[in-house]
Amino acid sequence: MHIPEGLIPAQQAAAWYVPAVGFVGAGLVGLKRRLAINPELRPLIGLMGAFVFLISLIPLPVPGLGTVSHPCGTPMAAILLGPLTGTVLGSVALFLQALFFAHGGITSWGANVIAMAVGGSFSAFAVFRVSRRAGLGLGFSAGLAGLIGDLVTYGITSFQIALALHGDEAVLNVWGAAFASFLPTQVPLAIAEALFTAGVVVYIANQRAELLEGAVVRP
Amino acid sequence: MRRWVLVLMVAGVFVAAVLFTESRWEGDVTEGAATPLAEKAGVEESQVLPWKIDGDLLLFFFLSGGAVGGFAAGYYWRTLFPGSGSKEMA
Repeated sequence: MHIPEGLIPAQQAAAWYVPAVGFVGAGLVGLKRRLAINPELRPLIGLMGAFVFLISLIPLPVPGLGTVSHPCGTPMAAILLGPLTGTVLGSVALFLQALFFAHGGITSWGANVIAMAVGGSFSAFAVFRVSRRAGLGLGFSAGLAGLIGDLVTYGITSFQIALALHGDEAVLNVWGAAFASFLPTQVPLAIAEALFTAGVVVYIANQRAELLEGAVVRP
Repeated sequence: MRRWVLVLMVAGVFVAAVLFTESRWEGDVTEGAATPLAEKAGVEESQVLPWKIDGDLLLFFFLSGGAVGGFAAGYYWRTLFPGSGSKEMA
């Protein structure tokens, strides 16, 4: 979903930067506070940072379609560490990928942060919380959050592309067409993201429940 | 045993992806979705960074990034779960 350099007009790219910087700034402040209270979160933050970087970098082939795409990783980070921390980790991954991997762009960083870091984190976090409050199991809730977080990310990217490139057509029509072109590739990867997210969340909750004390995995 | 079955299943999916797809694997799905719209709008990708990373250099960066990221993930995983995998290592 990484929008490349130059595809978004300069004004829109700047406009996406404003909320992106706000979310990342709030996330950094929150992260500093949380680490001061609970320094033992540091390795979990390091693990999630590495996962988000790797998961959102690796191009996975989809059999039969001849296309590649990637999951996001931010839903898992948001479930385990909260959506603002997920936003920070996603934004760092996007920045490194834009600098060294020709994946995304510096001018499109703000738009990509809003789609993958903010959209993926907050939608997954909301789905997870609602699912848990509805009494659904930990693994199922995490998987559902991973699935929705992934698809929301691509829905936002489609909207950003449509807003930038709709020309004379209605933005919503172009958004629908762009999102539809993502789905055949992205649905299998969203399912993979759901399974991976559920597996990791359940494993961490079973092995080191104390790490998540007060975190969202506690019903 | 179950772990190896899972590894073989995942490997099978990737082998099938390569063997049974006639496409040329041209780029990320975002490019596939955005390129027709960009061409229609007369917009092209641009470059703002003073360096351009492509070809084998990009491959090198991907491999290096994967190695560094993988090492970091493994390091923090072992910090969080020091006992995991100890049976296999013994």
